[in-house]
Amino acid sequence: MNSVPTGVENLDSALISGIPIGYTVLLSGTPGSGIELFAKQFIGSHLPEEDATYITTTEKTEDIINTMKDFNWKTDIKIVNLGEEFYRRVLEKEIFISKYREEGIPASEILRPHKFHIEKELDILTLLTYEISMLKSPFRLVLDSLDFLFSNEENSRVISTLRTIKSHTQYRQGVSLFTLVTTLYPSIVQSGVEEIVDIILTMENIRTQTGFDRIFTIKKFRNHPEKVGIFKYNFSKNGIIIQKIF
Amino acid sequence: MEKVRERCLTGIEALDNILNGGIPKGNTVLITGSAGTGKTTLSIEFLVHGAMKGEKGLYISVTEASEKLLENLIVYDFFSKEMIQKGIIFIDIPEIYEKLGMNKLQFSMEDINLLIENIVKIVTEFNVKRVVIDSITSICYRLQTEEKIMEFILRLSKALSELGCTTFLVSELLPSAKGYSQYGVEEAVSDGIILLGNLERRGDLLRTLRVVKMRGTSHSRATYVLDITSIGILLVPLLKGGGELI
Repeated sequence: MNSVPTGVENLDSALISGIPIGYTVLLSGTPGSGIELFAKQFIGSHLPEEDATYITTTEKTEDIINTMKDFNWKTDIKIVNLGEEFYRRVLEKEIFISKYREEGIPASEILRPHKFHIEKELDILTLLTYEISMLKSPFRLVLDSLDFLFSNEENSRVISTLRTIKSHTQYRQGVSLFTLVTTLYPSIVQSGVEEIVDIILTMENIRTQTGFDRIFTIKKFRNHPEKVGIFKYNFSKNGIIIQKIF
Repeated sequence: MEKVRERCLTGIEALDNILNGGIPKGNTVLITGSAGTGKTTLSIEFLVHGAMKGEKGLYISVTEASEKLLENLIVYDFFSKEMIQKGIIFIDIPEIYEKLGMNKLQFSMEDINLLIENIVKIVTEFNVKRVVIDSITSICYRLQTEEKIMEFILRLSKALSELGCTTFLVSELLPSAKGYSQYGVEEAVSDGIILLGNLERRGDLLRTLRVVKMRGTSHSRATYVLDITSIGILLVPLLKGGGELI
């Protein structure tokens, strides 16, 4: 089985020399556990031949690059900012509407009515699928995060889009990673996503009397149940490090 | 002695004669009739004649994109593109709806107020003297209740009248309508009613016009044959006998 490295120290050996090509991975975790950092470490460790795309829904593009530079990860990746697009097309419009409702439509807008372009309603999922269709084989994809999609779109449509991404990953020699914050969703959503993906990784940040216990688990590995296991993890200047096996 | 109200000449000579010198300034007139009877043509001509005298016109298009409407109107001799740019402001109401976030099928009282405020704002800022809303029926459709329709028309016509504006409300009469308007209330709150119709006589379909009501002036209530020619609307008395109004 051909695999690609995750870039996370000691994790590749716990998997099968990394992530098998064609696999889709779900990385879920508690808030503050470091899943976004993992996502960046993963994309920054892409092989030269991999077309690396990072789709973000919450962060600013420059913040992503700066974080990756701080850890000395490769930044020759494509960043697609769905969050900014959403802001520009949906939220910004709402801000204008509230201004117009409060102050009235300005005369300048009235005098050139034909120039006012009603932008097509933004369908995030269509935009996402379009970006996926642009990926060249072999590719490495990160989608951070599913939370944004589930909170703005109908659950069944999100699941259906994820299935499309999974198939594309399978047939186009790619690897894809989705992030999701746990405990926020009804179990039907969680299990819907878990059923689609080939590998499930989780990160947990558990408060103890003296600090935090950071637990990393391989919860699912398609056709390799022997790989399922629990680990500890920590952070260094190079990023996330997986520690001893329990 | 009754004070003679200042008049607003429609510019359609025969109509001004029927009205004994034009429409009393500040009146809100319902231009009502079924499809193809010449309501829009009459209304545009009213604005064009105003523009020729230096009175600014405002055409609020509800059902048809004004761009398309203008293309169809160019055939008239009295109409030039220059006139549009200088004398008449064309607004597509969907753009107003969009800017004010009025995307619900049924408008709330707040939406209605905003719509009136914004129309009044345009009229004030551009010193508009003639307004056409084509059609009021399409706006009424989204107001739903008789109370809201009444409130909308009354408040709008009061505000426009105070600004010295004479207003045409184009009303689409469906075969199902009883009386002179689709919802019944439009005719009750208007200052005037001009009824346009079709008359079949000896195999010909004639257009007809009758002033049913006009506050502030005496007028003929006879039926006239309306001809749409390249020099505008012509009216001639309808010879009695034969034919059926449809």
